[in-house]
Amino acid sequence: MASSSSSSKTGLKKMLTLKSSDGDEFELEESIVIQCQTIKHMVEDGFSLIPLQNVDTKTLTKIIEYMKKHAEKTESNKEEIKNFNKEFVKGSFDDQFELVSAANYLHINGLMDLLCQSIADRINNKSVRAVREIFNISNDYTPDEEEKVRDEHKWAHEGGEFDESLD
Amino acid sequence: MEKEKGEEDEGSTCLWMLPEGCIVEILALTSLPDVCRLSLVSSSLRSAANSDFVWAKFLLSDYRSIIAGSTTPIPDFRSLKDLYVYLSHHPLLIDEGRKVLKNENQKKHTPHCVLNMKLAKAKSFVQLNPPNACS
Repeated sequence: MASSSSSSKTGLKKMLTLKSSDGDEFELEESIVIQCQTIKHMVEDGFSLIPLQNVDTKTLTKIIEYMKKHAEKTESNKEEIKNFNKEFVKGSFDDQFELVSAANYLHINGLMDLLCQSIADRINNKSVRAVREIFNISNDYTPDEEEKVRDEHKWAHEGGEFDESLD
Repeated sequence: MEKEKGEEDEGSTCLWMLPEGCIVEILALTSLPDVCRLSLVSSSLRSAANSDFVWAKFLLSDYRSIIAGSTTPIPDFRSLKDLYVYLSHHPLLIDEGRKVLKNENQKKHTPHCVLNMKLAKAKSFVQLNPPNACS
């Protein structure tokens, strides 16, 4: 009796299980997982095993790494979190896209902002040709249409050295 | 959509893997020249680049109240992009006609367009004029 009341007083940590689309399970403290709005709502509805059909194990592992680190955030470790974020967004566009889709589905706002900003920074000043190639987009304009669209913002295509690199 | 299946194989990155909301969010975090230039990539990217969500980022956050308080009548626009382009070329009388909010470079709507800035920062572009100066 005494021990159970003391354990609740010290806050016996409530655990939740996340299940990836590959069927792998991850047990985590509720306080870490509720950074994710989608899961938070499920927890409020009484779920403790949370199946995430849109998130595979590789992506979920990365997302858990992010949530664990950000759960440690205090006034004094801002620099550490900043460095963590910098490392976190270093993957390929492919990896980042998987993470953005998952962060969007899970509603982890901080992670969404971090990833979108990182992708935007990488797209910045890229040439049209590089963007087509990186993202596998075919040019579906007719030559006439293309000319018209180019004319619409002529200034944006002039004068600069655009980044042709594909990373 | 119209592209041949073969182009999407081998798990290569494809922008359309992302929900459209995410694409628009990413575009809004680039810059005005990027958004205008990337319209040329494809028609789908152009329609994302033209969305109000993106162009709202390039307008002053309080553009609605500025326009509402302006003595210059402006037409209704179908999109925020149209509004932006219009404002880039047409000075707007504000503060009961005592000031004019205008783009310093009238020739093109450059990223330096005054509308891209917070009003506080735009002070150098807000010129004191007699009410009838722009008529």
